Amino acid sequence: MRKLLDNPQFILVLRIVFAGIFLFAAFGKIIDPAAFAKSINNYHIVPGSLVNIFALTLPWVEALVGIGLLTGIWGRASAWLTQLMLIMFTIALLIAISNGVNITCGCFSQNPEVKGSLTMDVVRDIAMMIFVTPLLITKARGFCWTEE
Amino acid sequence: MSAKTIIRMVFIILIGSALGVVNKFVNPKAPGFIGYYPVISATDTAKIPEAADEGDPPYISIGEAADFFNTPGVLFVDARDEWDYNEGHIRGAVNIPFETDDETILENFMAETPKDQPLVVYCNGADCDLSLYLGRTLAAEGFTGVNIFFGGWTDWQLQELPFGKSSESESGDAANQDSGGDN
Repeated sequence: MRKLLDNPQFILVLRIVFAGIFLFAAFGKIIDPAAFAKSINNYHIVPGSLVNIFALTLPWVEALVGIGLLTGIWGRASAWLTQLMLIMFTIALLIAISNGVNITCGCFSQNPEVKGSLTMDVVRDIAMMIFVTPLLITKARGFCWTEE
Repeated sequence: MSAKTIIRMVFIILIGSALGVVNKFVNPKAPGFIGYYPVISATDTAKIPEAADEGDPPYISIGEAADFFNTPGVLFVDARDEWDYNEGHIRGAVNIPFETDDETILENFMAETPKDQPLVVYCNGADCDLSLYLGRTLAAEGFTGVNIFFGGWTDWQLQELPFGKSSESESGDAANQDSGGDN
């Protein structure tokens, strides 16, 4: 197991995959923050007055984290932020499910017509949390990943 | 997680926030910093006037009206008379009094406004059908983005959403300039 975690190729593939996912997710939200704000508000978790601040800033953190994972610059910090965001998203989804609100995830698409299953979104987020973990503990270096 | 990593994480969040602020000013689709979202019960349905007809522009609820308010580029149109409008109106709304003999305000508005401009027409609330008539008129004149917010000023106040008074300078108020020359 340890051998796999420290395998530079394996780590590089994970970095590219997560960078792609987060850059893709960030892009749609950055070009239309108002639509993303609506998605956030539908969760009824963030206070209304703070929704727009969240919608404006969160996608940029996603984008920076994506760049960090891809380039390896501040890679470890980016990986940890990725994990923290995934935990946050999963908690938000679980609260939405337990409140029974009829919403869409807003994870990638802000189109309310795109109806997915929130449960599947949770499963996806948990899978991502598992697969980002190697990036938190790997000792592999290379491909510009220099951070301790 | 080392202290260095934590500091870098904080920095990433700060830089991301700064970029978000920049995006607010350069992206026309960016909302204002403060969001206005009414606390709505699960049954947020549009109020529909008794005089409603099939083929009317869509009727929207207070929640949908607030969504439009948060969306840049949507114009609110107040169909009440000038006095009511001056006393208080949805922030940024223009005034097109519908119950008047002077149709220049409406005509000027229709001449100056693109046909696909998203519009939310409203009036006082349940006892006022002016939003309905103005909405129908605009739709008949070829405006494609008309919505009727029948809950109107009454519901807006109940939710304590942002309002303006005529003395305040607001953007997009051109249609309100009364050229009557009274006083």
